[in-house]
Amino acid sequence: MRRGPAFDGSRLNPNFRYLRVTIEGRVAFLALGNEDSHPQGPIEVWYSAEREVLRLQNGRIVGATGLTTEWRNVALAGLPSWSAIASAGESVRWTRTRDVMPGYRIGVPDSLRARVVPPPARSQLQGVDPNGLTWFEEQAEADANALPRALYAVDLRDGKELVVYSEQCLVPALCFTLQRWSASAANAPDKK
Amino acid sequence: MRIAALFVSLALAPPLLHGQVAPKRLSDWLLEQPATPDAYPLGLSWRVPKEVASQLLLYHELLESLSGLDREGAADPDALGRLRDWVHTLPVTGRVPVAVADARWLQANPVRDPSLQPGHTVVLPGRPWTVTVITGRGERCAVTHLPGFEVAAYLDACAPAASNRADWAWIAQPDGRMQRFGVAGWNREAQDEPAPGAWIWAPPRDGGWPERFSERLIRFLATQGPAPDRQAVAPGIKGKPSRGFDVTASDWGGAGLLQTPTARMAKTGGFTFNLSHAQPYTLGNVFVQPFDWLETGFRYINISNRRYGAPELSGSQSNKDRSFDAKFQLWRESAYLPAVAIGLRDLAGTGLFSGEYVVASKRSGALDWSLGLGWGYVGGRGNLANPLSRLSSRFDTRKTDVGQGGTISFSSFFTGPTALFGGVQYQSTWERLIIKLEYDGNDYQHEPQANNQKQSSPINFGAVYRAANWVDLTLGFERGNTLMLGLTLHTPLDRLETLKLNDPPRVPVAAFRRPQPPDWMVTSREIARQTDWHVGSIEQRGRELRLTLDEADAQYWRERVDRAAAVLHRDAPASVDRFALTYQRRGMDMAEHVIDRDAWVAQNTQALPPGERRDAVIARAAEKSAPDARIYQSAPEKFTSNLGIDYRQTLGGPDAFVLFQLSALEHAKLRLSDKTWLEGGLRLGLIDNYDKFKFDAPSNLPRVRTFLREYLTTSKLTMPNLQLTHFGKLGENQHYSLYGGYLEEMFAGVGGEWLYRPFGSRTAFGVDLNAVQQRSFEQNFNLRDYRVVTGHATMYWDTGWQDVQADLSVGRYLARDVGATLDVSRVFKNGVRVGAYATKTNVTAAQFGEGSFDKALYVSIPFDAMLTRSSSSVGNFVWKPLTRDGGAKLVRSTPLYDLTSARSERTLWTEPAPRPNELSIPADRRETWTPRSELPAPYTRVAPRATSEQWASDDRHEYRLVEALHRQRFRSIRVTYDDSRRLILELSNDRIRPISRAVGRAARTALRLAPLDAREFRITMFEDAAPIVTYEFVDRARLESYFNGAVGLEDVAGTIAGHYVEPGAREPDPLARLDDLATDGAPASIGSLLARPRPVARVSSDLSDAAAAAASTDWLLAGVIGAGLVLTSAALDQRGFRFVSDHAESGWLKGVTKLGNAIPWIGFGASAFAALDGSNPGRSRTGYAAMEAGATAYLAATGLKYAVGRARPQEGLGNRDFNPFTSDSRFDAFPSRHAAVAWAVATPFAEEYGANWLYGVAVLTNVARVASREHWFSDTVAGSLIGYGIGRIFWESSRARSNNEPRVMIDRSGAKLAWEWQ
Repeated sequence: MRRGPAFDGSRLNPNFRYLRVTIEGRVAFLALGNEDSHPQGPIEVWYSAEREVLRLQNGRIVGATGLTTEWRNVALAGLPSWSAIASAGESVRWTRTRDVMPGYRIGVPDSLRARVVPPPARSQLQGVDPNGLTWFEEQAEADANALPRALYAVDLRDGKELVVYSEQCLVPALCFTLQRWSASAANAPDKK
Repeated sequence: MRIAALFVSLALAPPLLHGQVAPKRLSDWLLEQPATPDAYPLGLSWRVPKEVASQLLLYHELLESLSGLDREGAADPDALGRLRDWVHTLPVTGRVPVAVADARWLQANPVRDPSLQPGHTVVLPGRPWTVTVITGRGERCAVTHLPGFEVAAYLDACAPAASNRADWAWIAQPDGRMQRFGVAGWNREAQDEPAPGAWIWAPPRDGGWPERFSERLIRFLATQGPAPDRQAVAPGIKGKPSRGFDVTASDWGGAGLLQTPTARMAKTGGFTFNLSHAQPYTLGNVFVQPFDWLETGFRYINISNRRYGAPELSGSQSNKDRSFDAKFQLWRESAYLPAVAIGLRDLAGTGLFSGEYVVASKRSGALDWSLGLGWGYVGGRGNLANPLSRLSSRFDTRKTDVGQGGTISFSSFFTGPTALFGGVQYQSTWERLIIKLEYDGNDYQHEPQANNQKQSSPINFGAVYRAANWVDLTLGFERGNTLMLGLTLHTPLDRLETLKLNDPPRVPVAAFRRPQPPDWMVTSREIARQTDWHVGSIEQRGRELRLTLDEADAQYWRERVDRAAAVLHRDAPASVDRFALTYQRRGMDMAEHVIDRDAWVAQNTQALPPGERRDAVIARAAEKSAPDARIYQSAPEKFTSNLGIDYRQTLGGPDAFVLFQLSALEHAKLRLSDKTWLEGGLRLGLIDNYDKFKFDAPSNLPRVRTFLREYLTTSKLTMPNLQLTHFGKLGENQHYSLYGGYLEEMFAGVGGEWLYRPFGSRTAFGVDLNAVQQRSFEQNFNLRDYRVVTGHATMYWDTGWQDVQADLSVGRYLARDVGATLDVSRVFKNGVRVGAYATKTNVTAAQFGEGSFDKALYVSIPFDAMLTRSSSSVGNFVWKPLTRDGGAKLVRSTPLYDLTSARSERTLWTEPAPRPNELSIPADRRETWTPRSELPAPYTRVAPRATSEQWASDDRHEYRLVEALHRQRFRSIRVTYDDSRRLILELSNDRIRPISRAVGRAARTALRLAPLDAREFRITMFEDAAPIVTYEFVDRARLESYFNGAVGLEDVAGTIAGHYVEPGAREPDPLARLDDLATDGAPASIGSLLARPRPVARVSSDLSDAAAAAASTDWLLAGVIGAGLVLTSAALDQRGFRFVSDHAESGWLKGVTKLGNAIPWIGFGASAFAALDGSNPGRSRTGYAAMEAGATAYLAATGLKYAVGRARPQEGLGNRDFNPFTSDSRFDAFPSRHAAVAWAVATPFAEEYGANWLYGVAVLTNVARVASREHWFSDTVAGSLIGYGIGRIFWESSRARSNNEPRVMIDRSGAKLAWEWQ
């Protein structure tokens, strides 16, 4: 992804929906290109200026192609809804299986548990009140190859389940923050 | 042959329908498929019928191997049979790998998205759950796939006993990617896991499976798609992820432990800068790895407790010693044998730390063991007798007198007592940490300069911390009492690359053409913006658009050509099919790149199967401009200037270790006419420490360079250059320049240069002559008194061997000394060049002073490899130990060889290094192994054929023919198709010999690609722009039958006429080689089907053939030319004798003498081995020819010695004393028998393999015979001519019988193997 702070103030096209991605503090914007149907909910297909493709389903990364690390295929078995996790009162367990490249690491299983957590003291969330969102932590079971914990900020108001912001990793060395972004927000001064 | 299985339909997703009319992108097809969780895009197969032909050939080769026909292996017949029976059932699919079968990503990256055509098939399989191992018993074993398991676990499950005996595992991943990984303790490396559906082949090392077979098997399995699931077993134990072995620098810079070297080598292209300190020594080492078998470098050693020199000269500066090292790998490590290397430390410096060693290294898992024997400083302990003393007593004692330094002391190599050294390197479980332990061979009690050090223990140990992939930190404890600190910076020179972030974005490529012509001024400006090339004019000739580019230069030509092509495709009208970019330098046409628009667009808009990938850009000699067709013209800039920063330094002098100057340099050019230029520069010193520069180097020669201090320090503002230059051409291949003015910083005057450089040729020849006068120290317009006429004749040779360039200059240098400069360099594909040069003149080592002779190492790096903006400049780093007056050349500002670089055949070869794997997307990662290509020669490809009408209306047909010829190294190609349906080819080829073989290739290519109704062919071969021979093929059908093997030569001979314009080029039988299909890539296994010849009968037959070939030779002409050369060379007899007498004690001359005297017999032995080996018929035949030629030359030279009776030089009778027909050995100088044999043995191999460097090896024998004062120079010339002539006759006669060799042919009926017997 071509990324750099200068892109934060770039003028975006109001006809597109954007995803603001930061990697170690550097910023890139991805544009929503497609929504592919899927039994577990639509998959959003986001494109970078460098023709990379990121797929999100319910805010979770379910595909990354054209990056140095790729998730070619992701299967989510027993995936609970955000509302179900929020109402469970304790950690909810489920399983994810990934096909990771390079290395032909096919069918890598992750045993995950998710729970509600308070808003973090620090995040890359921009222009949104963190206290108005419900925060979830997703942690893999202890394993030598386990990914760092993921963090999701979900808007559950009015019966919605919209992941506004998240922090996720493809491998421990490649972690993102992802935030839904509108062109008007980008063109306005940063509100930190 | 099982093509029928092409249209396999799987339950998940049916393939495209056969007969589909409209093309479709794969991404669109994927999106049409119903989403299913079981789909396995990694195993997607895109099957292209056109690929079946080449895969069919592979299939046949594989079956031949399995039938034991290629006799390469010795595998168990039962295993062969099982494997053969199974392979026989497999289909030939035509599968082509797809980068990533992700519809959305393919849509975003259309250049990776295949365009499915009618007849193509796509298979999207279900997700398999097993991995299939092919065992050494020829059985298939399915193993349940588990993530995290490497190959070893799957091998263990199938054949536990055999898995430990496997050295290599080949994997065909389900996406068609092929991999090979080391899996034994000695070669284990980091590796990918086998994905579900992968095929694995890992034969035991003693199984008799040759590597070529393994490659064929895995290539074929990669075309099969995912291995189908079968009843599976569980994998073996999951091991830790495999890791490779790290090679790190020793204290001395080269690969090694701490003080001791190992047999390991860095990767080719590796560059290392290393600093190490162990009191009282601080070493600064710079090492490079130009080849995988050679490590070389230089160093400065700071000796902190010794003074540099007298305090009045160098103050308190500590002593600095310069030295130069080389290490050669003798053989690589294998399962049972270690890697072995031989090395020379400080071989051409002062010799203070000189030492030699032989060392072996063997790896077992994480441990790498080394054991060596050292001489000199490496074996300073000296507790073992020198084993070489058994050969000669001269090895008993080591000479320590280093004289002037700088000489290579051959006589002291491997002399004196020896000591063992060795140790172990441990790759810790923490990836960044390496532990080293060694037994040092030096005892430090007899250090140079009596600088003895206390040593408590011979054991040294330390650790290397790999802080980054380019930084190593070392901490050690040495001698039992001394701390060692080391810092190593390393980078692969051959991988240097930088993203061009500051270049303008590329113009997008659309698949369609623009209907209307553009505003050409806008187009030319955009081309200038994209490429930095000024468009001088644009012409349109029919369907070709021609651009003349003024002062066009580049390092990565292809990058700029692509940028220009994108603009031209965007703007050029639809009627244009071809773009030609003609490059001019200084008003001279250099070359042109021709772009096939359709092919280029196809490559840049979709993924193409291999059979449809064509050379969209070819290089050729520039055509003449046609002003009448000009549609745009722009005047070039008259005046250009640029301001830059210049840095220069002098290292290692007595005043300070680094003397430097940073200056501003303004350079300007004024174009007086296209061919006449005024250019010059001004330098203003900004920062320097030249106030410390006090030393005036003493010199016994005219001080042409040793006034360095005065030139550097007299004035801050200088004029390094101001000159007027006129350029021009004398015909197509000859360039000249005439110049006058202030030519360089130290000399002004007038001069000229002439260069002969045919387009695309590997050789060029130039001469420069200059009358110059020394400039004043101020570098203004004043001059000093010293004048000299200087100049050189230079041969430039791109050897083609391991990308080595060798340039030899002979002439007079600035100090009026006469001699030669040899410059040898290795150029990498990214344009980085690593080289060395040395000059030896008639100045003795004593006259020359410190260093003995002029020499330097250098590295040239294109700025393109380092900057984020494209540039045509090159950065040079030269390490020259000393500046002396001997062997100094005039520095000319615009050498013609550099100016004409666009005529090199490497313009399209040089390209940016690929991005490192860690920065690449998975589809673009480079594997550590790639299979050797065994594709058939291009002319066997199936291609659409045009009628005469189609040919006339669409010049893409002609282009295809030109492109196919170009791919076979034909150059300067002209194609004409006349009204009588005769196709006329005019072309040259400097690679394929004899010429009839090249003609045959051209004719075969023309048969495939000419208009269907062409009746005749005329082929004229050129050499150096002059026609040599014309062949007329008046019956196309009969020629085709002949090439297909349906009729014999006698049936077609009457329809072929040959006319030699150049009689000297006439071959004994102009038709004998027409159907010689031998190619460089021809599989050796085919040749090995031949029965082994019986040596005695073979020799008898060869002699008979050679006699016949000799009978057809024009001996009168050969005799006249030979006699002329010998008589001319006699003029140098006395001078050569005086030279070798003056240098009789020279170490290097003695070394060359010994080597040169041995060459004929080494060559003869090697020829005999090659002849009798028989595993490669071509090599065996050449070996016989060389052996027989050598024996014949020996007899011929002996007879001539007796008949001529010339006195040997050492008799002191002069070179004109003859005593014929005597057996007195004092009178048998003429000709040199050694030289005759050396040349006779070398010639067949040199001609067969185009290895002209072998003649250079034979020349060493000439040098040796003169140096040993056994022969006059002219004796050796005569011997060379005799040897060459005899070698040539035997080679020619041996080749004439080559049509006994079998051939692989592909035609409409399929692939077949055929051979004829006379």
